[in-house]
Order: sequence, then C-alpha cells, then structure tokens
Amino acid sequence: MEQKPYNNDILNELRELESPLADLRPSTRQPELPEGYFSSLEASILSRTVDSVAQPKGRIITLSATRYMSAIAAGLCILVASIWMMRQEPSISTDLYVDPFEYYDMEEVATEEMVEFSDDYIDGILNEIDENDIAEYLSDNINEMDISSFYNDINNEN
Amino acid sequence: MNEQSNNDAEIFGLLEQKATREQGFRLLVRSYQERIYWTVRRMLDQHSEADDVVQEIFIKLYRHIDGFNKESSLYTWIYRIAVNETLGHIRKSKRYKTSDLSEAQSYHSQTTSTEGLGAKHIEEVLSRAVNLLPEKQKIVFNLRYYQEMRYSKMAEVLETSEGALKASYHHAVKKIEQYIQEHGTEAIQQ
Repeated sequence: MEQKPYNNDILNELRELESPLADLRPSTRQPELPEGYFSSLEASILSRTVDSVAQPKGRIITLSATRYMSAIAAGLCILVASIWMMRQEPSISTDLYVDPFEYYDMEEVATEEMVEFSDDYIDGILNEIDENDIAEYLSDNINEMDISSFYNDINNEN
Repeated sequence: MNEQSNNDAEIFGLLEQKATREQGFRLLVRSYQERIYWTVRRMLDQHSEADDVVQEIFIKLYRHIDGFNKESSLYTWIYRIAVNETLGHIRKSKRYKTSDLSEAQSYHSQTTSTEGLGAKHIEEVLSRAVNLLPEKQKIVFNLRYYQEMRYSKMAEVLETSEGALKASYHHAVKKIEQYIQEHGTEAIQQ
C-alpha cells in the first residue's frame, strides 16, 4: 500500500488526549494477501455483476403453485375416472363363468360313450315293477304330484 | 479529499446514464475495493470471510444503484452499505468475539514481519486492544484511526451525531491506552 502522511487532525487529537497512540503511526504493515488479490477481486465482482450473463426472463412457477396444480390435476383425474366407471353398462365378466362339470366334480362323458336305452328295455324294467311298488311310490310322493294330470294320463292310457 | 471528490463525481456521472452505467460501476469497483476490503478486514480478521463480505457489498451496491440517494455523497453511501453489511455479517455469524485473544493473535501471525519483533509486538498489543472494544467503538476507532475518516463523514456513514462519535472515539482511545499500559508498555518502550 502506498504510504502517505498521516492525517494531522487525527494525530493532534491523539496528542490532546495524551494517548501513546500519538507516538504510534498506524502501521502500514498489512496481513499477507494472495498475490494479485485485488485484480482477482475486481474480476470476481464484475463477473457477478456487470459481466454476468443475463438470464432469460421467463415465467417463474413457484413450488407452491406446482403443488396446487398437482392437487387439482389429481382431483380432475379422480373425477373423470369416477364418471367413466359409473357410465359403463354392467357386464358379466368371463372370469365369473363356472363350468358346471368342474363345479360339481362331474365326469364329462362323450356322446359316443352314452348308452341309449331302447323302449323294449324300458318296458321290461317297468314290467318288473309290481303294483305294490307303485302304490308305495304314490303314497310317498302324493303331495308332490299333480293329481289332475296324473288322472288324465291314466284315462288316456285306458 | 478533492481527488476523491473528483473521482466520485466522474463515477456518479457515469452511473447516472444508463449507457455508461456499466463503465461507472467498473470504475467504482476499482476505486473503492481496496479501501472497502481493509475496512472490512479490520473488523473480520479472516481474509476468506472479508473476501466474501466485500463481494457481497459490491453486489449490493450494483443492485441498489438506482436507489442511490443523490443527496448524500457516493463515498458516504458506499461506506454506509459496507459498514452495515459487515455488522450484519458479524451478527449473523456470531463471530464477533471481542474477548477472544486467539483471533487477534491469528491476525498478526499472518502479517509480514519486516520491522522487527518490537513493531510486531506493538501491532499485536494494539490489535488485541481494538478487538476488546465494544462493537460501536471498534467501528469508530477503525474508521478514524485506520481509515482516517473525518467526523463529519463518519456521522453521515453511521447516521450519528459528530459529538457522539467523538465521545465513542475518545472512550476507545482511553481503553486502548489502558490496555497498552497493562500489557504492552515494554513493547512501546523498545
């Protein structure tokens, strides 16, 4: 730092105060600084001020605004989804179909394996049934039978 | 101070016109950076800290250049912002430890010793004494003793009356004198 004469007013004031500081010229010794510090300081200040690249002016969306917009968007999505679901016609999903054979644990028999009973075979079985068996059957199931149709059937046969 | 005033007038003239504002600010930085640095450094002790604060001061000056009150001088405006910014930094970082002697010692451990042990010791004692001063007295003492600032200017910068500043400075000088008598008589006598 360039040494210049110390201010006389300040020196005289110290003398008036009879301070030992009057005999001590403020030191021109300064703490050490990095070499060329003031040049770099100037460059650093200017790079952060006048030389800084102008940022493009754009609309600033704050975080709080984004948060509100997200909440509104989520609400709209829920609303649209709800309306869409309510407007759908009820349909039975194929997933709900239950195969009766599987459900009752039945064995599916191929058509060719099925036994066809002839009328003679059926008549033979009927003939083996005696009157007592028929009477017993009728007495046991009389409540479930349609009497009038049964009567008509007998009359027609006769 | 005439040279200073002329320089300030030139800077002010450049800052006033939008077209030359950038040039004016460059000149302002070049003219004031060293003085502002040493003012801040006397208050903060550590170079890295002072460097940060000085940069912040000039950035603040740049941002508020439109708000510069033409009724006060450029010099006053710059120093007012510098002092306020430094005090703000000190309060924020709570590093203003007036009773911490290690700081005063660290300040002088970094000085360039070219004048022998006696001068170095005097500097150490003086620095310790200044560091022990209350905040306001320390600012006033630094501005007056080291920056050689007139009371009238200091009153504008610190927005206090000249009488109050004189009283603060005299109190500071007395306290330093007392400290030197207790701790550094032998150093001064060398």
